Amino acid sequence: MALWGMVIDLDKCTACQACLIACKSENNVPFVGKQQADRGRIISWLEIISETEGEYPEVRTRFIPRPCLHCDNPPCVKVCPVYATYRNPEGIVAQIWERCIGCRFCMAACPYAAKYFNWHQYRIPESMEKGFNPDVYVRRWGVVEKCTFCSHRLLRARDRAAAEKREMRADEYVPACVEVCPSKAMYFGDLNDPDSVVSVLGRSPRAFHLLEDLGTEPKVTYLMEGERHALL
Amino acid sequence: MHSSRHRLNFEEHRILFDPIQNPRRGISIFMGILLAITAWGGFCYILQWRYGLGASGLNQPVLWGFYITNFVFFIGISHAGTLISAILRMAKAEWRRPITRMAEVITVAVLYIGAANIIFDLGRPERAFFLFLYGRYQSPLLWDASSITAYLTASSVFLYLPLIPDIAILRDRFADRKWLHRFYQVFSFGWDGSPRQQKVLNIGITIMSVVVIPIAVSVHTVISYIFSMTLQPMWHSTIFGPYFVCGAIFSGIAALIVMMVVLRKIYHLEPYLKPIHFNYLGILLLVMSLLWFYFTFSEYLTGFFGHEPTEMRVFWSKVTGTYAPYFWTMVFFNFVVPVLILSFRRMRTIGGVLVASISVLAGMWLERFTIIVPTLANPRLPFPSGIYFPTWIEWGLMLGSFSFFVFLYLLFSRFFPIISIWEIEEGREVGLEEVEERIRSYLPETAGTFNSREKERST
Amino acid sequence: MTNQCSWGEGKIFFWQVVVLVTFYVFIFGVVIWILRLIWLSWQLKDVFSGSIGISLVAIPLFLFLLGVYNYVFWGILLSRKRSGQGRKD
Repeated sequence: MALWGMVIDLDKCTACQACLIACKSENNVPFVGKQQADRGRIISWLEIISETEGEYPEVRTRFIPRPCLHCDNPPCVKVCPVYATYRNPEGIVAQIWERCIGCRFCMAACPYAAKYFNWHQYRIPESMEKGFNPDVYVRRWGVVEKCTFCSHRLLRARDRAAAEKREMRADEYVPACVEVCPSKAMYFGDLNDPDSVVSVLGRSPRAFHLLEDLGTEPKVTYLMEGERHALL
Repeated sequence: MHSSRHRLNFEEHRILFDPIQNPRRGISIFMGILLAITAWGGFCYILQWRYGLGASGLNQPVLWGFYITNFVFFIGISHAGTLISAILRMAKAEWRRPITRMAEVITVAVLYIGAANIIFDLGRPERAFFLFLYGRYQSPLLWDASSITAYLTASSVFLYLPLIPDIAILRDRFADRKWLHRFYQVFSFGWDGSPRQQKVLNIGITIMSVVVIPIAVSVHTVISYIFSMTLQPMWHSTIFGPYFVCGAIFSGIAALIVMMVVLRKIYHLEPYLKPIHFNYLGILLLVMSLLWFYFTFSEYLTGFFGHEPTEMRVFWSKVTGTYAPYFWTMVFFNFVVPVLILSFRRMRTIGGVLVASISVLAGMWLERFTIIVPTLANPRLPFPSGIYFPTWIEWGLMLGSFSFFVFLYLLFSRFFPIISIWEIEEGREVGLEEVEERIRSYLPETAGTFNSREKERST
Repeated sequence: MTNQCSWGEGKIFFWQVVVLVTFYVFIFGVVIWILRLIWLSWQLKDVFSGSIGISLVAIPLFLFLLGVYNYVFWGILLSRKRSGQGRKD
């Protein structure tokens, strides 16, 4: 069985936020509106975390795209009281919207703040209706939602392979953010296959994980910035 | 215990029957006002139900606020009762007699309100029954659910058992009130004070006071686990269990004192609740205040000394940052005020103890708040952090919770004596001798008894 | 004092039994709930041992509470003076 994982090369990432937009439209992520956004209720399954270090003129800003990291030891799954969030056999940490009671314990437990809450019943604006993705279930008010690694694409790829009576190839399944990345900074694949691109890149000396010391064992690996700088 | 029916002088305890027999108009009006405020809280909840949890001021990352604070606070108050009453019973503290019932009622009333606050906090309250259908014992929330259920069951029984002889007294006293009499007839379980019944009841009460103590301790320990089981800075702490239990008993005693003063005033219980009771409870409160300070000090010093960056962000936001006003007010209310007042015998008057208790209640509420919110507001990863301001809906629900608590309490006092009559009588008839006997057993025997023993031995 | 407000012994006993039975239903409801949690954790392979560990404390505790309750209430109820329906004070 596959174990899905992602690699993000921070050297290649330009922080253009294409992944963020692709994620929003692919997964029917609601637009909360300016008023709600000001109150800190933006829903964005993939977030670009920015961190500025130093004082002018020695300023350096780092950008880290952060989808759900799909931890192998997920702190959010441990605390869910009703099996609304779980790690499936392929390593995807899933959320069952119809089971979630909205206690937000998983959000409090997630050290990466990768989970989002539907504070209201949000609607997709009329102008966006054409972009609605029928493959993705629309979450309703009062439940927690999160990045699914676009698992509907996995289902679709598997269905297609089954219809054509063949095994699904790992490269048939790619999340929206990875697909659109203009600088090809994101890679996706099967971590159980030692020759897959994510496994190879994951062994790179530049590889690190977010908040590695917490022991959550994320399946999103980052490649450290600096190789290009060193060359200059 | 004795058979109260034949010898009890109803007139002597007239004050205790009065709230049941001729309820005062003022109190009825007050209860009406409380009910109106509760209804206002209910209205706020309906609004929140319609608009979603977005009607509150919660946001990301501060996703728990007033409701969880109130939940922890109310469940904390519930330790007043059962725990204090059980400990005092176990310790055979004779001064407990007029206090135990008041304490036990607090527990039972407040547990419902605490549990309700969890429901307020749910995004999908109509799915709360999923906890029963699909619950998952790995989650600390389920530990809470079991532990609070056990506590509610145990403390209800613990409240009810010592109530039985009193209900029997009421049954005889109110033989002329049709429904009231029938109600008491059913719930007195045919109590007639026979030696066999007394023995059974005494054994029951003793067992319950032993059992209830570990359950009460488990409740607040498990509530602290909601926070300490996560990996978040300044939550993930091993001290949280005892720290929360200590805070719970602390705020519980304060709530008990406030309720005692209020009821003493409105029901004229001066003959039963004497300054000495407040003096003793004041000393207990002082001890708990010092213990609370010790825990707080250890907790914050450990965090500060380790100087872990994520911990320090939360630490500074409490000590000098956004939440500093709350933090220092908490220290002032929980430590400075009670210690200054309660350390001196002359200040441990009813008024002094009352002021200290109100201060502790406010301080402990702030303590829960400053534990929950600053950690959430400073997550590990840099986050466009929102500042949490509760909306009027949250204030409404909080006010509603408090007034419903007082309402339930007064409602209880309309049907049952708020001071245990038979235990007071027992104190007079059995307690006095028992204490004398007990004190004698602590001391070396006097020359007289010694000599007579010697004589016996030599013969 | 004779009074017509009193219920007969049978009717009182009926309601007392209703109260007791409500409590049984509650306790056994809780126990069934805990058993269901264990069963679910077994089915979903979700820390079965932990669930067993917690329920080893929880179930006996609730049954113990039931035991105390039983002992006291039946003890009081069955040792009451049964002779007269009305108390003659």
